Amino acid sequence: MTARPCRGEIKEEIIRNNLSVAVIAAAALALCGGAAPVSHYPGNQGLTWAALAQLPDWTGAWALDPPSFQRVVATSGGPDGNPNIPPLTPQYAAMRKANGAANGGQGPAGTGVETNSLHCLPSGMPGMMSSPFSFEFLYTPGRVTIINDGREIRRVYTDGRGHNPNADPTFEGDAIGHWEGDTLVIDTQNILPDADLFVGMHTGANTHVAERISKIGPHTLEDQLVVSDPVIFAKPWRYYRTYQLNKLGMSEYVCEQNNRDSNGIVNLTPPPE
Amino acid sequence: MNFFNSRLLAVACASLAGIQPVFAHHSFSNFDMSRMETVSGTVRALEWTNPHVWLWIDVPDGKGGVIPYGLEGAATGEMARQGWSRTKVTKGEKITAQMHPLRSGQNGGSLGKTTFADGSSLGNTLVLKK
Repeated sequence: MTARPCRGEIKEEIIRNNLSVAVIAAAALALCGGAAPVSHYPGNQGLTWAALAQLPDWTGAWALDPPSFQRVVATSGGPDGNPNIPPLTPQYAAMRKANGAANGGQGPAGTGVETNSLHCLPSGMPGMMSSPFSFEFLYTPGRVTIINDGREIRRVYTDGRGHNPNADPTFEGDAIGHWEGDTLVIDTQNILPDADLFVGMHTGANTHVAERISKIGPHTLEDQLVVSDPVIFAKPWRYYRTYQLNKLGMSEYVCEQNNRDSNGIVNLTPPPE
Repeated sequence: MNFFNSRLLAVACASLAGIQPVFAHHSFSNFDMSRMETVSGTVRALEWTNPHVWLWIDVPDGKGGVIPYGLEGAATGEMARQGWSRTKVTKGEKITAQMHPLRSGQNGGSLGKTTFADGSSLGNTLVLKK
């Protein structure tokens, strides 16, 4: 990656482009970190274009691999004691039984065992990281942006800022990260209580997600997750997902394109010949 | 249980999970996952769309006509990783596909292993093609 110009070089650009002094100063501050908050974490936090080049290379599309996918399927149902089902509080264990998810998704048909995407809503966190799509990790100074085929976007700030207590809750939550060597550590909170935990279960008002993402092989990324919510979980839910480099690249997934399953009713009208 | 042990259990469980379609979009509550049926006929159409790919097969009704069956696959990206493409089949091609039938009794189901006219086949599992 070519480093962006800083200070003196920016002056030359300004003269060439005939930009105003104010724009120049703002650009210098933004690009060179002069106004950016100071990171509390040691080591390279990717605060400049030059620093980003020293971070681990996660270029490409990364898709949930078959073992992880099977774990996702196993989490979609099964009886209590299934190691893929997180330890729920009695209240939420009862809720899961009532909505059919505890019966392998084969319980009473209905929206109780469905995911947000049935309604073309985002999964949100933490469900997004278990979606069987490809993911890409885009670096810009002080930020990693995670995008999946389903057009969900996570903006992970590594510029040293803290959580914004006044921000509106969102599906993806407020993601604050930092780099520990080659590992991206993310703390996500302020998640809407409508995001997917797993099939048949939504997040709560205080769901918190802690992640450590790193490359564990030349073509494998791993995300270690710890999801906690004292109302939902009897103890924090620890699990991991692995992703393999998908040489086919990213795909376009538009949920509204040909949604024949809307609201559980399957439209079996064949396409016109 | 520590994190490492939970991993081992998760892998063990995954190995027992068997063939499952992909639920990018919904669970399998519409399908009878305990049953696997086989339909044979000719390709009517392949809808290479999201949230799901749909394979349409004209199945002979035994009276000289055909009944269209709609078989739901995964999202295009997932199907591509399994070896499918928008040009994988042609209209009129002989084809045999396994499916978990719809609970509603409608003529359709969740797409499973598909065998093509040349004898080759693809399974609808998340198997990456490298």
